[in-house]
Formats: sequence, structure tokens, C-alpha cells
Amino acid sequence: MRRLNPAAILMLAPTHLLLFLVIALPSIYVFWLSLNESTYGSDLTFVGFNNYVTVLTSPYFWRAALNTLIVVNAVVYIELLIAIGMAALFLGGVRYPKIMFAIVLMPYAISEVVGVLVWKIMLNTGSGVLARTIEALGFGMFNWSVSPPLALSVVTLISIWHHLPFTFLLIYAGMLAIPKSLYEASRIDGASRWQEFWRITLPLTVPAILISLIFRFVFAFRLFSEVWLLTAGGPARLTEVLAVYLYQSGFKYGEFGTASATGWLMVLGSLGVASVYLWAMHRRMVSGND
Amino acid sequence: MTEATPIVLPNMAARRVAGIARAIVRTALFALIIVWSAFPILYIVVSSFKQQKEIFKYPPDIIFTPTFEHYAALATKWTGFFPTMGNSLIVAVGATILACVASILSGFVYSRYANRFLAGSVLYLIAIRLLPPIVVTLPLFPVVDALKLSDTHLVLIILYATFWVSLCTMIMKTFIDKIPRTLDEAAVVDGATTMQTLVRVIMPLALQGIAACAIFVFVFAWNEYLFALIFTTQHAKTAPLIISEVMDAVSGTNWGVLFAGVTVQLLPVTLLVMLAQRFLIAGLTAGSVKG
Amino acid sequence: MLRKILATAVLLAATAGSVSAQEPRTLTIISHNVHKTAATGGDLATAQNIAGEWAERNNVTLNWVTLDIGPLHDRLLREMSLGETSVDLAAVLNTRIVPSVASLLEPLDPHMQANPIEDFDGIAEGLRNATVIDGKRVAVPYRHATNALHFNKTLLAERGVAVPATLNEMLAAARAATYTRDDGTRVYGLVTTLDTHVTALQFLSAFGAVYIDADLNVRANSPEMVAGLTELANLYKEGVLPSNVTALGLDELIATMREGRGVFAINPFSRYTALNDPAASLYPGQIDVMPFPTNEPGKASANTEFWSWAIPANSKQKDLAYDLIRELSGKDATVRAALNGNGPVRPAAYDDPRIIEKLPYAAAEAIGLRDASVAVPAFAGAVEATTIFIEEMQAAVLGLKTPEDAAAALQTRAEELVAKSK
Repeated sequence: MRRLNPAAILMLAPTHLLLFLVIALPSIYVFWLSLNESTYGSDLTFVGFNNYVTVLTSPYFWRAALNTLIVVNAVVYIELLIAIGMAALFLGGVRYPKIMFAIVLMPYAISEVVGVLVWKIMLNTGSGVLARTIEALGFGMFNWSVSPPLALSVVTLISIWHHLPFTFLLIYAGMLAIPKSLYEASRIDGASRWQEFWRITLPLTVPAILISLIFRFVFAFRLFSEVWLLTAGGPARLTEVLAVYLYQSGFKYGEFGTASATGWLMVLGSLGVASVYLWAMHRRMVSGND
Repeated sequence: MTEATPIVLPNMAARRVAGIARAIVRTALFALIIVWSAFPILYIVVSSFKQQKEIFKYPPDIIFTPTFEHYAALATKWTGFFPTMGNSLIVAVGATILACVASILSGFVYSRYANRFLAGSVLYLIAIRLLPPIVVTLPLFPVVDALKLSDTHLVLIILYATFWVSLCTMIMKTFIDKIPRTLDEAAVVDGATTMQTLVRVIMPLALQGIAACAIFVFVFAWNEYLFALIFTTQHAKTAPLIISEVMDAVSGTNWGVLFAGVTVQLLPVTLLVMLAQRFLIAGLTAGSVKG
Repeated sequence: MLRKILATAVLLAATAGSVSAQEPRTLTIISHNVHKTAATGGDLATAQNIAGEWAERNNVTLNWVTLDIGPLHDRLLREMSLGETSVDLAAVLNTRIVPSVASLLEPLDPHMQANPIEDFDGIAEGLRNATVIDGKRVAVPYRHATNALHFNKTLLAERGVAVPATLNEMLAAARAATYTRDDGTRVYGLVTTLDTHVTALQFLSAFGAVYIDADLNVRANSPEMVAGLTELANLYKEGVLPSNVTALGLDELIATMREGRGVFAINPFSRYTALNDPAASLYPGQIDVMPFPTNEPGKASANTEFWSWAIPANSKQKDLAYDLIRELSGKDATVRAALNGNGPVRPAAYDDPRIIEKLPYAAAEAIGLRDASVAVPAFAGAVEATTIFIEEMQAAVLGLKTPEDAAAALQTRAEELVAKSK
């Protein structure tokens, strides 16, 4: 390992300048906004931590937080398991790799909004092709939109469908980068494929898994389109998630103080949810290993 | 293993059966993956060739006479669509290049240099991405306007690249970590500068990571809506904004045109993915040669 | 390859820049696509390009920025918060013209005194009054969407149900027309979008229920409101309303009616065209529309939402923008915009022979507009008031709350909101 020198600092500059100017500085200002009351075209009125009190005493915020917590954990972990399985399957050889690859990545290639809308059309109670098929198979009417648990399950399903290629790609690329020589060595030792997977593939993919976990937590925590387009948080605001709460109470009503305070509370929340993995990532950095 | 040699024949047969069973299971799993990934997309693509009346029919027609009216409408009635696709391409390519270059540079430093500040700043790289972007637009909007950057390709390129440099830096770091340090040390001994080492030794061996990053940034920039909506009006307007106009809350969505637009939008990304796939494999062989 | 793409990109950017530099005056308009179509005729074969003719006469290039409702207001409000904006003219929805927004709009009275709009009093009074905030006129009404009752004539005939004349007859007819076809397709008696406040308030107002009146009195906890909510909840329980009605959006409503899965629908008059579109509807010409009935024969109940033109106070070409408003609001321009599919804000336009010939629902809509009132008045808490209403209404419809409890909660919460806004 080399000591940091001016050349290295110069190489870090583009990334850190972008992040500092485009996100860090505005974020600090957003914190200042969260201590004030303001709307479109108005001046700021300092109110201290009032906005935080308003948000934290709102039952809608807590319901949204609970919904977010459930959906985020379900999405991230189920998605990770499927992605690891899929990547292992691909690693064992794939026919027509170009086409297969394109097919697998397709859900990620269309915009979130369109993806959600297509699922909504297919799942529309009483008319959608999937909903009618479920009904024709004798499972009864698939009326998910009026039942919060079912509606949130559909949200989870669609979110996994859309983002699975992201997790898959990261993990698959990670697995591809494992030197073949390691497998050859283990094969000489007579290890089964199953043992190979546990002893070589999985441990060496941990860095990629860690990254995908952390970033999926970050992205999933602000999940919006799925809920907004499927139920708009209804019925009776029972399926709201934090980003929907933020949009409703902050942007629809033009209350930037509330919006900013909710935003910062979401930062704390997602830090909490992903803290274990962030810590693991930090340890790896400090110890300097792979 | 050596104890098993006396019963070679039945073992071979058992292995063959197990091999066939494995092949069947694998094929079934691939089939499942194809259906899961492609069915909704196929629904869109097929619907784009159906007449409006037939799109929502149940049970859906599998065989029908395709119509190209929605594609014609896209070209003649939604005249903004194809020009805005040009904007999307400029922005997506620009953001991809900027994000990848920045991330390769910083990923290399994070992989090869040790420093306590550096280790701490990894957490900062991630933590900074936790604030929901919509909130960040509050202060950004007036600043971008004051800098006269509103409605330019540049502002979207900078924004989109910034959203991905954190993740891409981490990705590049993990891939560069896998490349033996002896290789860049050898290059330095041969008199290469740090930059030459990075370009000639590291980059060819980190192609999988670069390909993954490029796909992420390009796809995001290609489909992004919120920031394009807030920061463009005419000149730099991107295709997702036209798509959202087709999904019209006042007079109802024109589904045929929407699906046609989405299908057209899907083509460049699919091509890119197929192209990137080659790099993923290229990285693989390079890695094994180096082994 | 990449270099080539970039070079092309730079070239494209350069040419686009130089072209715009040569152009004379550009007027930037931010609106929904329907306003552009109303003012220019869009791609209609019979397009009446009212704005285009004005632009040519005045050597102006019109730069339309068209967005959907939510994004449109978000973007406009952000633009109006800047020191100076490039947006010269904007279409605004009535519920969005709240006092804080009105203060960012150019007062139009001085412009109107200097250069009056032709027969301004010919614009419907309710709409004119709703665009004066704190004594200042900040917008000119341009397009209204008044709710009505659509019905599928073929399906009614098939079920042997007569076209109703009163609210109770309509409810009975909707129940009688609800059935399941042999192939398992459900046909709903009444289809409406309960993910928004407008159509629900339309239904409730037929019972005489009012949420918040024009003087900001909250009148939600009334026997009429309870009766209306109870009826909605019953219709849901009986399967007359679609089972996913609280998440049913406009697109699904349109699809349901076009495919003959709905008999009656609550939606604006102007939806007639979309529902009867021969290219998309299985029942072209069969879906008729009438003013929403009450139990008082001959008296309709009609909720309306309307759009107006307004000028941001921080824009640079106010006189030019006002001149276009003036042009678009004239008597003949109103009729011509209606031929483009606009909901004309001048009741007299419905007597014009061109409109009677073109719009089969002109007479019905004239009645609707006559009896129309705004769903929720514009006040600082207007948007939040609609959110509260949607929440309580959905709870009552799905049976999560009794109609009585929902009406009482609505009253308390809306009163708090109004008090806070004052």
C-alpha cells in the first residue's frame, strides 16, 4: 500500500468535487431549510426543531416508516438471494450468452414508471391478464389494492423485478472476476461443485455482495414510484412509505421545512438499517484487504 | 476418492444420471428466469403492434395482424420524441463517460493507497447518497438557474454522473483489488508513470467492473425523469419527458403510443447491454490468463 | 465510435444554439398538452390554430412546454420563486391559485383596464370570481371540466333498464345493471375514480352534501354527507362499484367504459370523445352523457375544476403574454377552442351553431356549467383538504370506518385546517 501523495489526491478530485458541489453543499443547505418554515417564493422563518417535532409526532410518518422498514428488508434480502442463485447458475455456463444477458437485464432497462404501470395493467383486478389468470385458476378475485398487506406484497414483487438485474449484474461480475486458477486447484483436490461454491465463489464475492446490499438499501429506502403509481398510498393512507409521505406532506403542500426534515430523518433511518454492512465495509477498508 | 475406484462403472452411470438431472434443472431454471424477466417486456412490445381496442382484451390474442399505426403516430403526432431521444443519447453517453472516468481514477486510489482519511471517506461516499434526491433539488434549482445551466445537456450530465460516482468508485475498487499489486509494481519498475500503469495495466484487467458501471449509469441516465423534468425545458429535454406526456392525466393515456415509445427506447439499451456482455467475458479471459 | 458520437453531439448543440439566436421574440408557455391542443388545434385535421395566427401577426415564436398536472405546477412554482423566469405564460388549475401562489402572479387588472378583454362578463361568473384573490384578478379562466354522468346505452338496453332521470333511479339502474358475463367478466353498475376527491364529491353533492363551501365554512358533518357516504359504502359492498375502486385511476375508468365493463361513470363531459373513440372503444357512439341527476327532477348537480391563464410576476414579457391571453379569451376564440376540444368558459358558446353541430353533449354541458360549483375552494390548505377528504372517504367506502365517524372526522380535521390557514 502506498501513502497518499499529491498525484493520488488529484485522481480523487473529480469524484469528490462532484459529490461535494452537487450533493454535500446542497445537503447542508437542506439541513438549514429543515430548521425553517418556507414555501415556494417565500422567505425563511427560523423555527428550530419544530419541523422535526411535527414529523415525529405524525402517526402517518410512523406508519410510513413501518411500511418502509418491512418492504425494504423484504426487497433487499429476497433480491439478494435470487441474485446469488442466478449468478451461480450463469457461472455454470450459459447458452446464447448475449441474448440471455440482454433478457435478464431488460427489467432494469425500462424506466421504473413504465415497469410499474405494466405490472399494474397485468394485475388490474377483474381485467388484468395476470389477475384474471389467478382468478381462473380458482384462487378467487385478486383484489390487492384494497388490502394493505397484499398491496405492499405487490410493491415488493415489482420492486424486486425491476432491481434484480442491478444486484445480479454486480454479483455476477464479481463472480466472473474470480481467477479460474482457484477453481482448477480445488478441482484437483476433488471438491464438489457445491463445496466449490461455498469455499471459493461465495467468500470471494463478499465484497460485491456487500456493495450491492448497501446500495440496494440506499435505493430501496426511498422507494416511491411503485407505491405512488399502484395505490398512491391508499386506501386511507395505509400503504404510504416514507418517500410518499415526504412527497405528500412536503411537496404537495409546498412545505419545504417538513420535506427537508423528513429527508434528514430518512438519512438517519437508512443509516440505521444499513449500519451493519457499512461497518463491515469500513473494516475492510481499514484493514486494507480485498 | 481413491477408495471409490473399484466400482467405477456404476459410479459412471450414476454420474451420468446426475448430469442429466442437473441439465434438466438448469434448463428449467433458465426458462423460469426468461419468463420472469421477459414476460412484462414482451407484453409491452407485443401490445405496441396491436390496435388500441385489442390491447386490453381478455383472453389476449396471441395471433393478430400487427399494426404500425402507433409507431407512425409517434413520429407524426409526438414530434418531440425522436429529437429528444438524441438529447437522451448525448446526456447518457456524457454521464457514462464522466462517471466512469472519475470512478476509475478514484477507485484506483482507494484500492492502492492507504490512509486513515481515505478509509473514513468511504463511509462519506455512501452516506452522502442517503438524502432523497428530490429534497436536494430545492437548493439546486435556483443555483443551476443562476449559473445559466438550466436546460443544458451539461447540467444533466453532471447530475447523473454525480449520482453514480459513489457506487462506481466502490465497484472499481473491488475489481482493482482483485488485480495483483505485483503487476503495477512491475510496470513502475519498467518506468511507467502512475497514469500509464492505470491505463495500460489496470484498466484492461478491470473491464468487468467498467462494463457494469457503464451499464448502470447509462441505463439510469437514459430513463431518468425527475431531474430532467426540473432542469430542462426545450433544448435539452429528454425522451422520458415525452413518454410521461403520453401518460396523460387529463385526457387519458394513449397506450399504443406509450408502448411503441417504450419499445423504441428499449432498443439502444439492449444493444448496449449486448455490447457490454462481450467486455464482461473479455475481462474473464484476461483474468484467467493472468492467473 | 465514441468520439464520433461526441463530435456529433457538440455539433448538434452548436447548430441548435445558433438557430435560436436568429429568431425574433420567443414567448414561453408552460401548460398541459390539452391547453396547447385547445389553443392550436394540435394535430387535429380540423385544427383551429388560434395561438399560431396571433403569433404570426405579432412575429412571435411560441415555445410550448407541456407537462402533466403535478409536474406542471411544481415546475411553475419553482420558476416563480426565482429572481427572473423565462416562463411568460402559464396554465394553472383552480385549486392551485391559493393566496401564497397568487402573490407570485402578475395582477391583471391594470392590463385589463388598458386593454380590455372582449365581453369579459360573458365568462361564467363562478369561474371569474374564483380567480380574484385578495381583491386582485390574477388569472383568466380558460378551460373547465365539469363532472357529469356517462352511461352505456347498449348495456342498459341489454339489461332492460331505462335511462334514469333522478338520482334514486340512477342508483337503482346501476344496481340492476351489475352482473357477471358468462366468460367471468364483471360488469359494474357505477364506475368512478375514488383515488381523487373530485368525482367522489360529485357523487356526494348530488345528495346535497358540501365539504367546504366558498366562504370556507366546513359543512362535512351533515346528514347529506352521511347519507352519501353510506350509499357509496353500500354500492361498494354490493359489488356495484369496482372492487378496486379506491385505486382506480382515470386510465382504468376509461378502459372499463370502453370495454363495456362499466354501465354508468362519473367523469367530466369532455370525456365523451375518449369514451366513444371508434379506434379504441368497443361501444363507439353508444356511451351517452347527461348532467349528474339529483332527486329534484330537472336539477343537476355539477362539480367543476377549471384552468386559467396567468402570468408569473417575475417574467419578462408581461404585455406580450397578456396580449395572447386577450386573444385566446375572445368570444370567437372561445368557440374555436371548443371546436378543438376545449371546455368553453363562456356559457354563450354553447349556443353557437358550430358547437351544437360538433359536440353532441353541448346542451347537457351548458346545463352542467350553469349549475356548477367548485369542488374545493382555493385557500392555503386546499391541497391538504383534498388529501384529508380522500383518506376519510376511502375509509368509509371500504368499511374501515362508519360513514358517521368519517363525516365527523372530516369535519374536525378540515375545521382545524381552515383555522390554521386563516
